Amino acid sequence: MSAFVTLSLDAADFARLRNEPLQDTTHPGAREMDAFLAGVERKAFRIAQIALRHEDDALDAVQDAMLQLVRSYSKRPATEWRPLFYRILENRIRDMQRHRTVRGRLLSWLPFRSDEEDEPADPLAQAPDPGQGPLARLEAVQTLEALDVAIKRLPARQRQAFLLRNFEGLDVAETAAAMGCSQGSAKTHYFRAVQALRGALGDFRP
Amino acid sequence: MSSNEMEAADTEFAVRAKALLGASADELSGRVRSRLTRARYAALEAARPTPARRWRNWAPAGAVASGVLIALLFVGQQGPAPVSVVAANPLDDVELLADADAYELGQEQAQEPDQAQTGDYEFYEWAAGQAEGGSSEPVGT
Repeated sequence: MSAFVTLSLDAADFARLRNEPLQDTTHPGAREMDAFLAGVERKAFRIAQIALRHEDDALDAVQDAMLQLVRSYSKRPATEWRPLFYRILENRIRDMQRHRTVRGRLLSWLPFRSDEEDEPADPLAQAPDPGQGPLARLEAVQTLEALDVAIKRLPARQRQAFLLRNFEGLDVAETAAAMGCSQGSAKTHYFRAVQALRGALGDFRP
Repeated sequence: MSSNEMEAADTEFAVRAKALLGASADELSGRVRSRLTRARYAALEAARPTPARRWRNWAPAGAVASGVLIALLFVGQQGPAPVSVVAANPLDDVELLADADAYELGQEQAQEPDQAQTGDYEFYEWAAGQAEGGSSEPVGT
């Protein structure tokens, strides 16, 4: 698992740069790539977070996907970036899930095993603050948590199809490209995902 | 539930799920947003060509050029040797030309090389007779 790269920027730099595109003109596609990444990073993080149920792992996965996209595909047409980026992200998520599974099997043999890393993150600690009353806020948190868990429990292909089609808003062709399958398969996975989520959520239907 | 009703329910579910997930992405904590920004900048920074990287791009060509230059210098040293070692010191030629005796001796030896050797032999024979106190008459008179 890669370590998160730390840059030497202070708080003032971030305050100034947070919503500004890069001013670097020496790299022709840098500004366009920066705008693309800024547009997908939050949803990409949520997709990784739902799949991995771990904030730092999700951030690592998103950063790795960004790095690989920029290094390997920045010269490809910008219209191809989104499916490529999500394909890379999904591969990274699967790698992390496999790594976690292997690590869990190994640690299960140890008597002093710590369960800390396997516990899902506290939804209350991660919840957004929508400025609602306490009850409405709790209900929103519980609904979101239930939805996250239900999506997480979907088979990987259904989860991928649902998040890319529904959450990220890719069309069928882009979803199929990101998943590396036919458009018919992408449609089928999405349909089954919606059916499964509706059946699983019950009273917590959003 | 008819297929139309099921399709409508699926659509309604999808719309509400999208709204909920979208809200959660828009309201991420400041810590997560900051780290995402840093991750983005790190990715873009990694792809930007730096002066060092530009220098490294030319390194293979420089290495090839250096190799060719060294090979040329080596081949140049292995070329034909100097034609005359004497010519390496031109003062020797001047000295020989300025020495008139050496020139005449050289001319005599060139014309009568056997006579010159015989003369030396007679001289040594005469010198040996003088030392023994014998005939004072020079040999060959």
